[in-house]
Amino acid sequence: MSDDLKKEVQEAPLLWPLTPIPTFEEVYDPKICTEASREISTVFEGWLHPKHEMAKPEALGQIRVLECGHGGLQVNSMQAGAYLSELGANVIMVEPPGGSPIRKLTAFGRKRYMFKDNVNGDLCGGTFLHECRQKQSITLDLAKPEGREILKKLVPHADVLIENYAPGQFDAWGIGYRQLSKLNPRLIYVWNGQKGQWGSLKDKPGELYPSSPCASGWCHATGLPKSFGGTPIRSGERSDDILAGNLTAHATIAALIYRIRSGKGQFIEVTSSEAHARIHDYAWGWYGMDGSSKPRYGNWDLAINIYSVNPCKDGYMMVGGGHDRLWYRIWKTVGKDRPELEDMILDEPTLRVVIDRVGHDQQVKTCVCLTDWMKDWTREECRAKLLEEEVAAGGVSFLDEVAEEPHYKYRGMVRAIETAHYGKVLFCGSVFYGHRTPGRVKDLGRPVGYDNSDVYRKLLGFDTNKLNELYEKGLI
Amino acid sequence: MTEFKVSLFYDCPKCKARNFFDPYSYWEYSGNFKCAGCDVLYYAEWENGQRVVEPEAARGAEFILPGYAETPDLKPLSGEGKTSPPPFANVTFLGKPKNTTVSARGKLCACTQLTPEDLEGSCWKRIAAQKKFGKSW
Amino acid sequence: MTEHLDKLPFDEYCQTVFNKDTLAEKPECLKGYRGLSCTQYILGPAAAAYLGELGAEVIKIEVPRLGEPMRHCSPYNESWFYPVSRWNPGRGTSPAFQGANHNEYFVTLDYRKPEAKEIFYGLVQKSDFMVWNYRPGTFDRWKIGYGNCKEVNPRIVLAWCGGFGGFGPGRNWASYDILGQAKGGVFSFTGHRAGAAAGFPSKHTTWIMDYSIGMLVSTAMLAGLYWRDTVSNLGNYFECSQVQGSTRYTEYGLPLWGRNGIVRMRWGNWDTEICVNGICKCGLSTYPHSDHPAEKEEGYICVQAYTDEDYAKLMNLVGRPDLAKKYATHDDRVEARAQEEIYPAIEEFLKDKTKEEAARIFTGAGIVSQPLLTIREAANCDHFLERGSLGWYDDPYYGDVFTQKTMYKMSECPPRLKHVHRPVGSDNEEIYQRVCGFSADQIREFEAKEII
Repeated sequence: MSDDLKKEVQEAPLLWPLTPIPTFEEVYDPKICTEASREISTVFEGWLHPKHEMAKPEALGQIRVLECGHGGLQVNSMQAGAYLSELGANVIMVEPPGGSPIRKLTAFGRKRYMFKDNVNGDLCGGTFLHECRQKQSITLDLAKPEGREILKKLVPHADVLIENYAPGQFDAWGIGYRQLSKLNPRLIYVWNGQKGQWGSLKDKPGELYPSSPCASGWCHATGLPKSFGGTPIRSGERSDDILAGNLTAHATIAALIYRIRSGKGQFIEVTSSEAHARIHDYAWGWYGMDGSSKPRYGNWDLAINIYSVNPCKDGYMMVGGGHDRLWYRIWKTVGKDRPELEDMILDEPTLRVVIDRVGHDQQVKTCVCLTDWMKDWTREECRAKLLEEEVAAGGVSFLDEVAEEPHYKYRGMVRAIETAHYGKVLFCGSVFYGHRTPGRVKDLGRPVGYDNSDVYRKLLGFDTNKLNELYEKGLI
Repeated sequence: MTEFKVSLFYDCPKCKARNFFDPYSYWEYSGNFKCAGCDVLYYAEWENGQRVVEPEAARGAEFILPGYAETPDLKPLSGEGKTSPPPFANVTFLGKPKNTTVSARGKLCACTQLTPEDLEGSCWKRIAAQKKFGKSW
Repeated sequence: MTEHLDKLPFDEYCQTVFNKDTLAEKPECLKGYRGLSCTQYILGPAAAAYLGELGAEVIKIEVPRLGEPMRHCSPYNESWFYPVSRWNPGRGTSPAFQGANHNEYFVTLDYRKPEAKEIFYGLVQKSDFMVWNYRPGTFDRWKIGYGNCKEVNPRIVLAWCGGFGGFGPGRNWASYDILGQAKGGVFSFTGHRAGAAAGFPSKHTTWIMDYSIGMLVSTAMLAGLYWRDTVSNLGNYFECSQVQGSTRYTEYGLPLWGRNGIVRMRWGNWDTEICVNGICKCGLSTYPHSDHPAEKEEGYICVQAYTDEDYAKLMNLVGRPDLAKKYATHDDRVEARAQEEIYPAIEEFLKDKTKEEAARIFTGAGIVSQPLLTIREAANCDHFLERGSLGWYDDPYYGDVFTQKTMYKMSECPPRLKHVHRPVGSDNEEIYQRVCGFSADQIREFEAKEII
């Protein structure tokens, strides 16, 4: 790494917030909101505002999770661990010695986008930092038999184990559910993957996103139709790992609830292709009815008109109005500037009934008329005009705009945290706002092996000599 | 006062058909399009959704089709070779309730409109007839 | 029993413990929990349906007669399941309703009628959890908000989910799924690059922010129930906002912006962090003679070869050993310019192949690949049918229905599909009699007054 780059990585200051975070007085200024609105919102704030979160108990405070999700480059187990840790579980992340390969991922391999450890100078990618929130980082070489023996010693201390290695790998290593459940019958063991550890399309070693949405028909149905020049498209984010992570957290807590009554742990399998299939809504019912294959329909919706994103003067604009009340409000808004467009839509006999509007011809006509109005206005102008009529509308925000959105800043959805090793980092707060047990983020990802001493000492009684010995053998 | 320009549809001076240009194909487009009413080619240019060159004599033979078109009395002119092909999900597109009584694999399913008599006393009679056990509602 | 399992090869072991045909023999995870779903569209209904699959008795409350709006949105207005309710035999329910309403009981109640309050409280008292996704404050305005409900039932775990949340400057903004995708950020970096063909940002095919935030809402409720049953015996109130879920999914996006002032943008079908890991176009269609419009298209295939070894294998296979040498390390080939060279080289190789041929060639060479299946292919794919993630279902109301089934596999208390959904108000008698104790006469009277 060149000296310039070193300096850049190390000293880049936090650029956020560019505009101040709104204050309580500004948000609930009597000039802009009614008494009733202020009253109910402040009640919600009292229950839910994250400024109160640190004083509240944690829903999963008694749970310890071992997350062995670093064999490949899938981030599904990492996501799952993140949600469980937000809800209060003590998540111990087991990385291979030297650190998880995911730490090294950075957009286009650019080192200057990484975060530098201010103690030892190691670089860490943003995805890892963002998703490994408040997990304890330990290292352990599971590829070696001695390493697996240590894992077996950790298992009686754990309630949950999450892994995403190749199908059957842990079982072959003697640390699969069949073996570990003998050591800890209360253990909840979750396997994460793309398509499954059994079945005709089962995961091949090294398989990653986006192979699961490709297999479940999701990618083929995403993107613009061919006649508009489109192709199938993958999600920008790792939608499959994210969905599998969500469901893993879901399944884990469900199994914990079952364990209260039965005292038994269990084996769980969460795959992202099934997650995609599960949420693919009418695609399946429609297929069953007459063999239909759901096509790509770009940014329009096959089942609702207007419910679409179309270009406007300075970007892209979402407008939604699935039922009559909103439909007429949208055209009223358009009619203020372009009465002829409003007339054109209101004159059209096939657009009068909600369910008649979803034919393709009707959708094109509607979107063309709407876009012909929007092309002259910016996202903010369109939105202001539509909000006046209480229509759900908003521009497609780029991430700088997301980071600076006053609403998100006020609610602590986007916030910065001072980490011990990586300086100030901007991140997205916990999704779980709660009255009694909110989700929260106390720290982001930690350096490799940061908690080795703490965890191995506390749980296994290893002293410094033992830890040194393990380190020298390359086990931790 | 902002002046508004019609950009995304065009009334053909020859046949009076109104062609609608879907914003995805035409947002940044320079080239020919074919009028769905009289099959005449026109050349036009769009920049960021604004039509900067009004339709004029065609240049070359390449063209794309409008997204939708209609006659002055609002009759649709869409169809193969007229407008760009819609991404249909099946070959038997109707655009209205299909009223099928069998599923894709040929078994009975409740996908057809019913009359009050069909429902009298029980769930849909044809489905109910197949089932010995069932609850009425 | 377990000894027998211990000896099985791993594949067979999994097939045995996750067998789709033995689901019903196993206990249900949330047996004895009852929940209310006061929801519409997808976000809230999905959250409750996930718990319904796990065995909770979920009671969905809809507007009398026509039911909630999601019943009335069908793709191209073509496919409907009849009837929408016994009062409307000529109208149907869309298949879009079935994804988010598995295993529920369907009752009707008009919250705004004065008599409804008592009926509603009767249900609240006997419930463990409840989901709402009306605009924030709606239930409080009707005086049946969290403040009131926790008086009636201090053990109730409530979850409100919606667009922007109940406090803050944007609390009054309405939201839909794609608005969540748009305002939260994931929309902006999905799609082809600006300047490329069809270089527009792209929406995900289906309502992903509704379903996936629904999962999180559902997770929050489970955590609330766990805390209630193990620690406090107290209820809870959760609020999950859709746009935040969308922002939560932006991975390195926010840290990158905060530190470097760089905005994460679209990168089409390729991967910003890993190379080779992308979707490539095959030149030929698998069904060139199909009369089905979507099937005549060229195929696509996802290729993954990111280790040095696999990458070299792939480049030799596509006849570009020069690229294997030029970008020998991962840091080299993940650079934008390298990707712009590598993927077109692969597409050049695939120009005269269908996706199946391509998959055969890649598999033969030991490279991981996955053809993009269409919905029709996925629906007929053995993998999903064997595992019971998709399948035909013999529904007592709707006959032969193809549907998504369970979201994940559990060995002891698996989620399962019990019915897809039912017409509006079909369980009024059942629920109001069994749970609330109203007589048949009372129920008829409520129905006549359109309270239920």
